[in-house]
Amino acid sequence: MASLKELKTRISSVKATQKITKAMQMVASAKLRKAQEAITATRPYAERMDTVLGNLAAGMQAEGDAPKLLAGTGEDKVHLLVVASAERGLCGGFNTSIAKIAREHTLDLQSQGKEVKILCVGKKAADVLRREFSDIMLDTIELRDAKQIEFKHAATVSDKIFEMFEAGEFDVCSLFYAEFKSVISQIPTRQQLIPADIPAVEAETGLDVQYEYEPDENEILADLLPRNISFQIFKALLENAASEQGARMSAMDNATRNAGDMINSLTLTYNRTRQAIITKELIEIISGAEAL
Amino acid sequence: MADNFTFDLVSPAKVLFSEPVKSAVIPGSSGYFTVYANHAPTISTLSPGIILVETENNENKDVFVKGGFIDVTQENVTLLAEDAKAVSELTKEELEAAIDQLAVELEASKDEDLKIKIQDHLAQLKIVAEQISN
Repeated sequence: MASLKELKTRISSVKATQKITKAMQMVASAKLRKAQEAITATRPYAERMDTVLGNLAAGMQAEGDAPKLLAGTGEDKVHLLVVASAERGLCGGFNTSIAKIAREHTLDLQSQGKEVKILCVGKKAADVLRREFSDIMLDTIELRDAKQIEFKHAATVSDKIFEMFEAGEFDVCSLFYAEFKSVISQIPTRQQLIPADIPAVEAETGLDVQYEYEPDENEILADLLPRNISFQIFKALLENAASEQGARMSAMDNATRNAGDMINSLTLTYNRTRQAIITKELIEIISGAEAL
Repeated sequence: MADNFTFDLVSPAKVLFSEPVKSAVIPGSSGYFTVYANHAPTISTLSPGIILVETENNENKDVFVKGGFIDVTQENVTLLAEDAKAVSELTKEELEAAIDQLAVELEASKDEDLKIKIQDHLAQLKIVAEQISN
């Protein structure tokens, strides 16, 4: 059995750990609130963007001369997977679950004979995927220095994607991230970026507004599509940030509780051992006295 | 024109401005245009430039945008911009940085149409820079 001193140091070290996890949980919940606000703040932009794009795209598909970003290259051979994850660990299964669906998707595509390229945003999923797919990993964009995700971070990612698309390095691009549902539930999601997956607007609700387009529809669409993709990435990064904090919060909550359980059981052992030693000493004294 | 309409300036991160206004001058990509209430519904892309808004109380507000697009309907105007800043907060250094960046892009681009577009943006930015320094 461990000595009293050993038990004592263990108890105090678990207590120290508990304090850390507790603090991390509180930090995560504060950051989560901020991240959620950031998501809410993108709504007005998202709504407008969707309406305008929906309107334009509906007209465009009918005409059949849609820009490549919308219609795709017409082929389906090379897939680019953009995998967004966190920069830090200690957030439960967050990073692994994103890496997992990305991995499954990669294997699936490869078994269909498609070529796959992977671009990682955030270090953690990259670390996981590198083990298996190091030969098809292109690059990792790290956002470690970013305290708060801003639009320019998304723009760096999208610029990279456009550059590759222009150079014809892939046909289909999809983005992996975790959608934030609640603190206990973050859903790893795949979203197709190129060809753009634009939900068709339902047949003009009531008012049939005839817009004037300036310059013309094609040019506006050509201008809007890249913006929309940057924005989709921005939104995904924000969702991811919120999910990360949510996952960390529940992971740290668990850790704090486990540390509490551990402290309880260690304290129990400590007290038992202490009593056992006292009893032993008493018996020794008594039997010593009897022997005289 | 006594009528007012709502002018929303929205960036991806937040709503920057949302107020009833009398008029707004917009740097559209095919030239500046002014919007009053009951304007014909229009969707237009923007060039870099200064938006001039006249609010209900006859105050003037000017905001610099680097680009974006605008959705005009009869009751309200929504301007979606990635990067917008009040002119008073705009510094010459930032503008010059933007101009330099465009100049580099101009060098790099091979597509003729794109070149013309960048040149156009560059010219616009220079005008803004001049206005600011005055």
